[in-house]
Amino acid sequence: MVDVAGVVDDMTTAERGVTAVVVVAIVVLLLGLFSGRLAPTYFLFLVGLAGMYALLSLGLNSQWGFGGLINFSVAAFFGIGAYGAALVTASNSPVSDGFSPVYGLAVALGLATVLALFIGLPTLRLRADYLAIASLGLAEVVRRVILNERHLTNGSLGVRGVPGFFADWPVLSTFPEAMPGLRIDVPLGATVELGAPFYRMLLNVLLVTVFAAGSYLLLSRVHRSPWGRALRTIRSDEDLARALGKNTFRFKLQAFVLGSLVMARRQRLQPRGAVRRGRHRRGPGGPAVRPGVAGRYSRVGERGPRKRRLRRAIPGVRRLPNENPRGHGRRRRPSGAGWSAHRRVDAAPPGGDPAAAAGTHLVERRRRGAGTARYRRP
Amino acid sequence: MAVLGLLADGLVFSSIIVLGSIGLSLVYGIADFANFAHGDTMTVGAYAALVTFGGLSGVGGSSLLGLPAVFFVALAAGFVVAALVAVVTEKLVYQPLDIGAIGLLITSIGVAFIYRGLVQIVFTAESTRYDVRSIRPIEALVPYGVRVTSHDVAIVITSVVLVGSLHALLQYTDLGRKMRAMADNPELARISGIRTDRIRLVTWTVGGGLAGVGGTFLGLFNRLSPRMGFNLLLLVFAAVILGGIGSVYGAMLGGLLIGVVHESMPLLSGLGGLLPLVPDTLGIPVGIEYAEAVAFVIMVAVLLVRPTGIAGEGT
Repeated sequence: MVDVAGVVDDMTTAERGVTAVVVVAIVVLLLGLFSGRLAPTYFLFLVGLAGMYALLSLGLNSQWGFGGLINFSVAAFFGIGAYGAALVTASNSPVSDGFSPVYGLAVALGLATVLALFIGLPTLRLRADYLAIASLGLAEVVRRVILNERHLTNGSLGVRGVPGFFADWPVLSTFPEAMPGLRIDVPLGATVELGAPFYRMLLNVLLVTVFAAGSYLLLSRVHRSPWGRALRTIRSDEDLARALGKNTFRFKLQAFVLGSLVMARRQRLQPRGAVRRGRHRRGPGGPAVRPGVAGRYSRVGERGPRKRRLRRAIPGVRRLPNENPRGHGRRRRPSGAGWSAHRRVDAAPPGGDPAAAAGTHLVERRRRGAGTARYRRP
Repeated sequence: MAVLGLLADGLVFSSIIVLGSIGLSLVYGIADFANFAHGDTMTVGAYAALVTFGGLSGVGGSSLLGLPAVFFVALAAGFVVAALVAVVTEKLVYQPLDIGAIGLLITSIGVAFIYRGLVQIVFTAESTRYDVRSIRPIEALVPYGVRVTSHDVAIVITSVVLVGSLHALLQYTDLGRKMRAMADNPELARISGIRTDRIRLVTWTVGGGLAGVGGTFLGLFNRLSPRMGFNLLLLVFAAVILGGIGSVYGAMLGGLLIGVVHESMPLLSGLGGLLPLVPDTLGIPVGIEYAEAVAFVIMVAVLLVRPTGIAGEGT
């Protein structure tokens, strides 16, 4: 029996909020299902969709959370995964067709690796907000290429006729048709019928769940590994990591590729079997980014990072007397917030002289150097 | 001469980008975050102008450069509404938040979605246009290969006037001096007695207003659609970064360059014939559909090679 109270106690306020929202959403969905207002097939579709977003969030988390890399090209990886798989397997693909979806998965992952290197190599050296803009720009380039290279991708028409993932598997390929149709009287009223579409969707959901769970386990393992430790050090203080002899760029690049792979795994997702450019057009910073944020970026399966506890333990760290509330002393490392706060505590104790605090700010600003260019004096 | 024509088109497009990039750069300098809602502020301005123009259509009046006089009233409405929206957003959303530059950046994406959603609810997702008669290019310039309409001339002239006024504001008025001081170093400005809150609001007003005018012109140049601003936003970012973040004059220069590059893509394939000292066959085979992609690549290159931009201070 899980100690519910203990788990809740261990959560931060934000985590509690997110958990509460998730629980409410699940309850509402189940109520809809049992009262017959939500068709089971559609219910499964929603669950599958949630699983896909979970995959995207896991991918973004391994970039942003582990490495502090803000990647705004999530949609590009999503797209390249979908296209990579679809172009290999679909019946109206301009490039090739008829390959097994398993090869599609391999091709999608390969393409995502190449794309991650293409985007990551030039941009990962950039500061956080520049990285966001630059990766967004390069993602847009990817979208343009997919849109305009019609001989490769069918352009805006999209790729249709993507077979199901299990199309040539021994038992699973005929599973949906083979299963008997069921009529079930649900507890709260209506009667639902479960036919082939339901089982097809069930298979898809299972697949997504397996992928999501696999990614989660892999990533939490990675997070605890020496590699993950090095990455966390880089995130909180890149200079320190460099001083310890780590090649920070290389680690970042690896994290980037890893995260991109997880995102691209989302490819087997198009529930209707068609990959349309428009589907991932929702674009940068769209839904894909938000789950990662809401889930309080930083960890897979590790609760209450020491850093934050520490920060809560020191009174007055959250906001110093003259610390600019708008974040003008722009933090160099966005996610190392706790760290920079500590540093500032050293420089200006809470309740200290505001002018002194401002003074340290000036030093900080000057040290930050690049990117603080302002208006030129006449 | 195709070159002249393309340069002229580039100049017109640049004027729009410059109007957008100045506001973005101002806000980046003072509020210190990349405002992704800026593109949609342009959209808001454009639709505000559309409503005003539609409401005033009965009013007659002389026409100026092929545009009825009321259009300039609509333009002013675009400025005012966009500025108002920007200021209200700053007051309601950005100011109370204490989440650092990246948090604000992501917030601004959400704000952009809200703007766009509201515009879409009211005006639907269909594109539309101002009820202005489309006109033929100016005859006198056609022999030179320049095909610009008097609407385009109006865009350029208005932009130049606005940019000139901003220059005067920044350089010769007390307010402008305070704005520059504030952008340079907010803490120092505050300590020396400048009311930084007020200056920040003025900055948002100017930035949002210019974006509104830019959006209105973008609607005149192409058509209006709820995505118009967001589609332009990355180009505007490219201009701001090329010019140097926070630098108004850099943003002007960057906007000019990005606009011209964007419009002169057809030249790339025949580059050899234009440049001296290189073989005539030299060319970069990049189609015009990749115009924006080229701008983004320039942006990334600038970020890598010279993050302070062409007009920014060296480190």
